[in-house]
Order: sequence, then C-alpha cells, then structure tokens
Amino acid sequence: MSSRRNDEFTDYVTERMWWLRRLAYLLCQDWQRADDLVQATITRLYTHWGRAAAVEHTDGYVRTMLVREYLSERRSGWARRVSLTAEPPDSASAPGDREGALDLRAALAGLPPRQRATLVLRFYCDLNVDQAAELLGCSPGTVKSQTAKGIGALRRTLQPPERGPGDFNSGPDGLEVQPHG
Amino acid sequence: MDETGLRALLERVADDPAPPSRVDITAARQRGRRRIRRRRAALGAAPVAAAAAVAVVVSGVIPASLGFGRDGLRPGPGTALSRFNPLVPYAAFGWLPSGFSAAAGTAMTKTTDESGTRSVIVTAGDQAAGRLVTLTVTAAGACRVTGPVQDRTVVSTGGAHTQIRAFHYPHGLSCDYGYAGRVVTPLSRAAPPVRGGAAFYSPDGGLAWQYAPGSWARLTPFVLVTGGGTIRQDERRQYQAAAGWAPGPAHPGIPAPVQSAATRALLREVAARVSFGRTARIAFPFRLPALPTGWAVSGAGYTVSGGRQLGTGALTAGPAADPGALNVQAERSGLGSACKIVPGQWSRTHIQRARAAVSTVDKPGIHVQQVCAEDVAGLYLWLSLDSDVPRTTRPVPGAAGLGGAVHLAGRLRLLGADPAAWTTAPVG
Repeated sequence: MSSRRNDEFTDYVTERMWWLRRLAYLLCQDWQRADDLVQATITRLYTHWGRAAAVEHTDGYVRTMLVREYLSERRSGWARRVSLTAEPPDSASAPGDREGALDLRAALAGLPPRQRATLVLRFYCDLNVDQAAELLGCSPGTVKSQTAKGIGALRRTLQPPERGPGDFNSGPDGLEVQPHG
Repeated sequence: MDETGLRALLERVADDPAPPSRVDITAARQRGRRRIRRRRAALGAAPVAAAAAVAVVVSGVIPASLGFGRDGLRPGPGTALSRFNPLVPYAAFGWLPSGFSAAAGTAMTKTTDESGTRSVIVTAGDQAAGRLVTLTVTAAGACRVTGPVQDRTVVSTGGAHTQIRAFHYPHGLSCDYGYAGRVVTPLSRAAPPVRGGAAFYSPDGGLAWQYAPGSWARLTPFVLVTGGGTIRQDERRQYQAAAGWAPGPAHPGIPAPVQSAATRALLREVAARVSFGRTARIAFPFRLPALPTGWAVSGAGYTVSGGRQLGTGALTAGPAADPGALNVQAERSGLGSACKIVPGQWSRTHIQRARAAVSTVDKPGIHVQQVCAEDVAGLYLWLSLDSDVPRTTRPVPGAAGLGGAVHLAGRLRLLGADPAAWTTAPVG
C-alpha cells in the first residue's frame, strides 16, 4: 500500500475514532471489548481500504464492517462463554443521569446481540428498516420484529413495577409485541 | 418508552466519558499489511500451508525462538512457546482455593487469527460465593512490559457523585492478542516472584507474571452476578467483600479494588501452582471428515468435568483467509442449549434422521449456512459454514468441497451423549 494511501487510512481512522469507539461501546457495553472490536475492525478495514475509500459512503461501509465484526465475534463460543462474568464498567456516566444510564446499560446488556445491534442501528445510527436489514443480512420483517422485541424487553427491564405483560401489545412501527414467556 | 425516548437514552449512554483509547492504528496497519502479504503468498503456496498445519497438529507445539531475559526481567522455569495447539490446552489450574472448581467455570482456547493461537484462557469459579478467577496464558513474544502508563478510572467520592481521575503506573503489560488486537494492562507495583519469574500486581486486582522467557500469564479475579448485569465501579468493593475476595482497607485516591494481603497471597499461590506444558487433549462428541487442503483447527472451547476437558464449546476451523469459517458445537442435549429459530429465516430439515433447522444467508458480503438440531444422537448440534470470506465476495478456499452446512452435518460422526465415547481426534 502506498504511503499516500497509508496516510489516507490513518487520517480517516483518526478522525472517526471517537465515533467508532462509541458505536462499539453501545454494542459491547464494555470499553475494553469496544476497543478490541474497533481494533479488529480497523485491521480488516486496512486490508480493504482500497474498496472502502472508493465507495460513496465510506462511513456506512465501515459501520457495516464493525457491526458484522461484532456479530461475528458474538457468534463464536468465546464470546458466549465469557459473557457470564460481570466485569465492572470502565467509566461513569454523567452525574445526575447516572442511575438512568446505568439502568439502560444493564438493560441493553441483557438484550441478545442481534436485538441490541438492531436497536443501535435504528435509533442511534438512524437507519431505516430496509437499511438495517441490508446491513444485518436479514429481512425487513425480521428487523421490525427484532426492534419490537428489543424495545419490549427494555421496557420490561426499565419499568418492571408499573408494567404487566398486557401493557406491551403495542410496539414501534405498529407491530404487535408479544410478551416473552 | 417510545422511539424518541430510546434515542435520547442511547445518546446519553454513548456520551459517557470514555477511558483512554487502547486502539492502536499503527498496529492495525502492520497487522493488515501482514494479512495482505499472507493472502497473496497463500495463493501460490497452498500445499506448503497444508503441511505446516499438519505439523502443528502432530507436534502440538512450536518452540519459540526468543531468548532469555530479553526485557531484563527474570523469567520463570516454564517452556516458552510461540503458538499453542487449540486441541491441547497448554495450561490449567494446578490448585484452587477451597470452594473453587474448574468445573464450575468454563475454559476456552481463544480463537485468534491466522497468526495462530496466541492465548489460552481458563476460568474457574466458586459459584456458591459468586467468585471467578480467570487465567490467561499468552504465547512467547505476545506480551512485553512497557514503561509508565496512564489509566483513567472512576473514583467514588461518596454519595451519588463520582469523579474520573487519571492514575499513573510505573509499568504496563502490553499484549498482542492477535485477532483481538493489543491490550495494555497497567501494572501497579512489583509482586514477589512467582516460581522465580518477575511478577506485578495490576490495579484491576490481578497478578501478572513471567512464567517462561518472554511469556506472560495473568490471573484476574472477577465477581459473578447471577442474572448478568453490570456492577458500578463504586459498588465493586462491596461485591468483592460479599464474595469473599477480601478487599483490604480503603486507600484514598487509589482505584478499587484494594486487596488485602491475604487475597494477594492467595493469588500468588494459585499462580505458583498453575500447570504449564499440559498434554491432555480435549475430548469431542463428534468427528469431522477430513478438512480441505489448507484448513486447520483454529480454536476450541471446552469445559472441565470429572478431570476431563470436554469439547462442548465451539470448535473453529478454516483456511488462513477465514480461520473461523467452520464452527461446530455439540454437547449433551437437554443441558439448556436450544436452537434459536427465527421465523422466515430458518426452515426445517433433517440431520441423520433427526429434526433440525437450517438457515442460509445469501447476501452481498455474507454467505453463511447454519444448521441446528436439539437432539441428534443424544446431542445438541450447531454448525455454521461460511462460503465466502466475510465482508468480501471471495469464496473461502476449499469450502465448496464441504457441500454446505447440512451436507457436512450429515457426514459428522456423532459419538453420543456419554463422554467416555468421545474422541480426542475430532478431525479426519
């Protein structure tokens, strides 16, 4: 790879590091794992930099790589086996919002990886249903159902005393949300 | 909660103060260059790669070429290896405190990348007390001790207020975990040598020591919280105390945990009795047909039961271009593993006359087939096979010859639910 392209890669990754780490953190719920994910993603990005730099929307290309890397890692036995350890978070949330954010983190951490990825893509990355489906390699219907189930699970986790199963029959996109058994 | 509320909450979490980045762009470039070179070289050297893979499996180990005392720190008496055989876990706990059992935890040979398996991770637990300790053993040359490092962490100042403070430590242990990248663990102060090898305490409550020339191991204590969830940093001491990890008295300005001398001595004792150079192989409940030319086993997960290492985690294999192309996991059915069928994505099929489900994803950049059966010959079975190198349109070399996940699952030799009948040669 030429020096110029090396510099382009380095400049791009340096500029996007803040964004990449936060997106990875939302997916992993752990800064150390998030950094591992970003490291793996940019290593792969380097090997495909020619293609990534040539596409119209490089950020979208990189976001796809990161999310698929995350789901690929979660697919492995390693990720499933170590997730039972409750390692403390590496940093605090802002004072004042601390409890709410901690509760949300715990609720997000309790979601299955694909549901969490779906919510992050839809409501943090602002992808529409079709875009999220393409990135995740599934049907739009699956994205809708994953979204509904994810929001339903967050509601149950964040508002357990006030809610019963019967309250969760209306999800986003007008979908019916079935309570989990 | 509506969509607007969820967006706001996600933004709030994403805005959390981040610790210093451990991402190393230079390392990514270097590793990426090596991958490109290897990929180009592999195009004309498949027979050589196959021979090398066989050599790893047969010999079990590859002696490292690193010299003694490279960093000036005294090494322990172990043997330095530059690569581990994932089918033969190199290290195991030799002694555990009362109440702990390797059976209560899980153990894993971590899949790394085409550079080989660089670490072995073994976890033991005391489920009654909610304590875990993880042993991470890295291959020769994977870790090195650095100069001073800075770490930012959260310090509770009482009540609901927290502060983030930067702490400076005299050393760091910088480890290259291959696929997972490089991680720097701060080292707070020197510990008494472990079997003659230099040792350090780390501020996360762990202990790192040089068990062989250029080869480092770490012990990290954890607290198990039933049902998952996260532990606030300022709650960590109380959880540790409840779990019997015996934190010592609070030291103002020092990040948690502060450990008692007794806990530190316990960790040193566990470290001193870690068994290296193990030759016991993992026993698997299945046998794969011969792998395609150029393929090798890249990782294996196992649990410890009755003194045996049982391959009930995922076994991964593949060529250099995609070392995790094939994943196979099998364990006794009825232990809780279930096929996660997504309507519309999965369809019914049969494997060896048992009911199963199959999913085929055929999208640009993702071509993977998964098959799952909850009870075939007394086993839960899950198998996935990439046909394209992830995120590319290039086919995985040799994958087409396996005939897809369903076909391959049909050719597995399944050995039943009794571990006595399982095999230590899961391939061929």
